[in-house]
Amino acid sequence: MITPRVNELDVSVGAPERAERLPVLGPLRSVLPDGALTRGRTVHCHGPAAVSLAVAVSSRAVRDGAWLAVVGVPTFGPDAAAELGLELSRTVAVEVPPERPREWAERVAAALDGLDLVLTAVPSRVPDGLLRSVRQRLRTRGGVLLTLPSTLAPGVHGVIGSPGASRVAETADVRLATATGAWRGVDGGAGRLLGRLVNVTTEGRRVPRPVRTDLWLPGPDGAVRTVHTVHAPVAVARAASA
Amino acid sequence: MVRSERVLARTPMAARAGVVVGQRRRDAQRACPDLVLVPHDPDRDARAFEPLVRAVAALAPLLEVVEPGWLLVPTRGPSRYLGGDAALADRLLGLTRTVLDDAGSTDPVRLGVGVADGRAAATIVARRSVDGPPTVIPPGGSADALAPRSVRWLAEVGDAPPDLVQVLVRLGIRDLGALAALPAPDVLARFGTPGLHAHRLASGRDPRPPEVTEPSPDRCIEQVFTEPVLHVTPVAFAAKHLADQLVDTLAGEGRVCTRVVVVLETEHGERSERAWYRDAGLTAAAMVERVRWQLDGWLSDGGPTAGVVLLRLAPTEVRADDGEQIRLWGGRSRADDDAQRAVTRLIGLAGPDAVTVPERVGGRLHADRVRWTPAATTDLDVADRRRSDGPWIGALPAPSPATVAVDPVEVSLVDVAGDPVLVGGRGEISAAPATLVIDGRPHEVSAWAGPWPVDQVWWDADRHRRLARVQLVTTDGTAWLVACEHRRWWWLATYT
Repeated sequence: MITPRVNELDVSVGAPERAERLPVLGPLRSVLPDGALTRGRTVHCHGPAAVSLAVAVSSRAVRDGAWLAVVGVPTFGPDAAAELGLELSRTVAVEVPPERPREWAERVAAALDGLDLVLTAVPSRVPDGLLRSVRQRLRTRGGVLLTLPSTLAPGVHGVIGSPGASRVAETADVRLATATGAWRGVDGGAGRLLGRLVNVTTEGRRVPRPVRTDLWLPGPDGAVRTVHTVHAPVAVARAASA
Repeated sequence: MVRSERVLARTPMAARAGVVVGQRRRDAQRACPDLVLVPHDPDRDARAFEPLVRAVAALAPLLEVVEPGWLLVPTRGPSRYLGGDAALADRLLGLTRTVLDDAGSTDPVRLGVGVADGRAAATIVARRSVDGPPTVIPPGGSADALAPRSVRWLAEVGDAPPDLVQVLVRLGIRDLGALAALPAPDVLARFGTPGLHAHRLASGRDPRPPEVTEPSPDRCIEQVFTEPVLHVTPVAFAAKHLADQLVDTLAGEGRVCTRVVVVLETEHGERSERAWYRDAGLTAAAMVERVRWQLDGWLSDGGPTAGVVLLRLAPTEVRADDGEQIRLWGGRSRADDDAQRAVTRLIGLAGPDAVTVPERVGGRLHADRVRWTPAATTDLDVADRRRSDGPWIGALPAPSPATVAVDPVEVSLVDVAGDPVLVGGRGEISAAPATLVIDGRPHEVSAWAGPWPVDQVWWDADRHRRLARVQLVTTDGTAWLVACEHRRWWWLATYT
C-alpha cells in the first residue's frame, strides 16, 4: 500500500480560505478551466477512469483542510482513493436508497451546507426542479459538486445513458471525459496492473474550446503525473481503439 | 398550565388522569374533563414568587434567581452562620412554607430543596427532593449523586441543546455517570463546547467555566429617569435599550453574560437589587423579562412608595460565547465544525448507519481493507482511524480499484474455445481467459494477470474461503478484478 505523500510539516491549519477557487494537484491544472476548482460549479466525470479522476481532482483541496462527502456511491473504493492522495480522515460517505431522487437531492443539499466538496452518482431520473434546487444550493453555499454517471458497476441499479444522467452531463459547468490510453504492467498472465495512461477531454459550458490532456492516473509509483515525466517504457497492454 | 394550546405543566393528580406535558389542550381536556386550565403567565409567577425571594434574601443576600420558582443560594456564608448545610436547607424549607401560608394561597405548591456542589447539581438534587425533605449532598459527593440521573437533565437544568441530548441517548450514553466517565478532551472534540459544559456538569463540578471574569465596573449600564416612572412598561422599554447595548458590547468581544444584577431605585431611595443567573447566557430579551419580573414582584409586594428613577444592569459574570472558534495549530478549524454540523444533520436525515467514515482494518480481499464505520460513533477529529493495520500476505499491492463490489456479481470467464476458465487447487489456471461475460454482455480480454490465490481462515470450516483473483484488461480499456471461488467467477472490482 502506497502511503499518501503528505508532507508532515505542511502547515495546513484551518480550512482553505474562502477563496473563489479550490486548488488541485499540479498535473491536473490543465484539466480544469482556470487551473482550479471554482466554487459553485459542477464537474461531471465519466468514462473508464471517472472515479479516479474525480478523487484526484479533490485530493489537494481535502489535503488542505476541506471535507469531501461521497453521496450515493456505494462502490466507492477508499483504498484507491487513499493511494491517489485523498485524506480519508476528512471523507464521509452517505448512502442513498437507489433511484430515489428526492432523498438524493436532500442529502446532497445537506452535505453542501457544511462540506466544500461533494462527489455523487446522480440517479438516472432526476426531475429538473430537483436538479435546479441542488444547483441553487451549490451556488449559495459555494461548494463544488463532482458528479458521476449513475451506473458505475454491473448489477448496480440504473441505466447507462439514461435521460437523467445525460441532462446532468449536458448542464455541467465542466465535463471531463476519460478514455484509457493504456494499462502498464500486465502481459499474458505475467506481472500485474502497475499504472494507467488516461486521456482526459475537458468540455462544458465554462470551456470555450475542448482541451485534451494525457495523464498517468495512477502512474507506476502511484502518483498522478503528467505524461512527460514517464520513465523508460516497459511492456504495456495496449487497448484497441474503441 | 397551558401555553400556545399545549400543556406546559400539570399537577400530579392531573398526571394520574392522563394529562401529559406537551399534549394539546383539547386532548388534555378530553382525558380529564374536570381539568382547570391556567394560562402561562410568568409575570404572575414572578409576583407570586417575590415574597419568597425577599424572605430568603434576608437570610442569604447573595441569592440568585434563575426564573420564578427557581432560586439559587450560595451556601458558604449562611451555612456557617446557621451551623451547616442541613440546617440551612431545613431553614429554607420552613421559611418557604411560612411565606406560602402567609400569602394564603390555595394553589398547591410543590417545594424541593437541595444542596450540592454547583448550581446545576443542586438544582437536580432539589427537583428530585420535591415534596420530600431537603437533600444535602456532602462536598465532593455530587458526581456520585448525579451519576444515575438521566442525561435529559442536561437540557432541563444545564441549558444543553436538545440535539446534544438526543445524540448522547442515541450513542447509548443515557445517564450522567456514563457521560462523566468519558475523557473530557474526547467530549470536547466530539461535541464542542456545549458538550464540555455538559461533561463538567455531569462530573459534579461547578459548571461555571474557567473563563469567567469579573467585568470592570464601567461595564454597568444604567438609565436615569428624569420623571419618576410608576408603570412597568416604560421601565421595560428602557431595559430593552440597555440590554441590547450590553449584549452587543459583550458579543463584540465574543462573550455572553451569565449573571446580571438588576438594580432599581425609587425617588424615595428605596432599592431593589437582584442577581439573575442563566447557565446558557442571558439574551437581551431574557434580561428585559427579568427586569419586568423584578419590578412586577416588587410592586405587587408593596415595596416602592414612589416612582422609579434609576435602572441599572451590571453584568457580574460573563463567559466566552460557545460560537467562538478555536484556532490552534492542528486543532479544529471552521471547516471541521461546519462539516461536523452537516454530518450530524445527515445522520438525522439518513439514519446513523447510512453515514459512515473510512477506518482501516487489515484484510486480503478488497472489501475487507477499509471498513466504513458509522460517523455517529466515530471521533471525526482523530486523523488516523486504524485498527490492526499489519501487512497482510496475499493482499494485492497498489493500485487498488476505485470501484469495489458491495456484493460480488457472478460472471463468466471463458477461454478461446469457449470453455470456462478454471483455477486448480495449486493456483494453476486452465487456459488464458479470452472473454468476460458480465451483465449478459461479452467483453474481449486483451490482457490479464494472475491468478493470486487466497486461502483465508482455513482453520474455520464455516468461514473458510478459498479463491483466486485475476486481473483482466478488456479491449475497451477497462481493467477488472475477478475471482474464482467454488469454480464460479465473480466480479469483485473495477479499476475506474
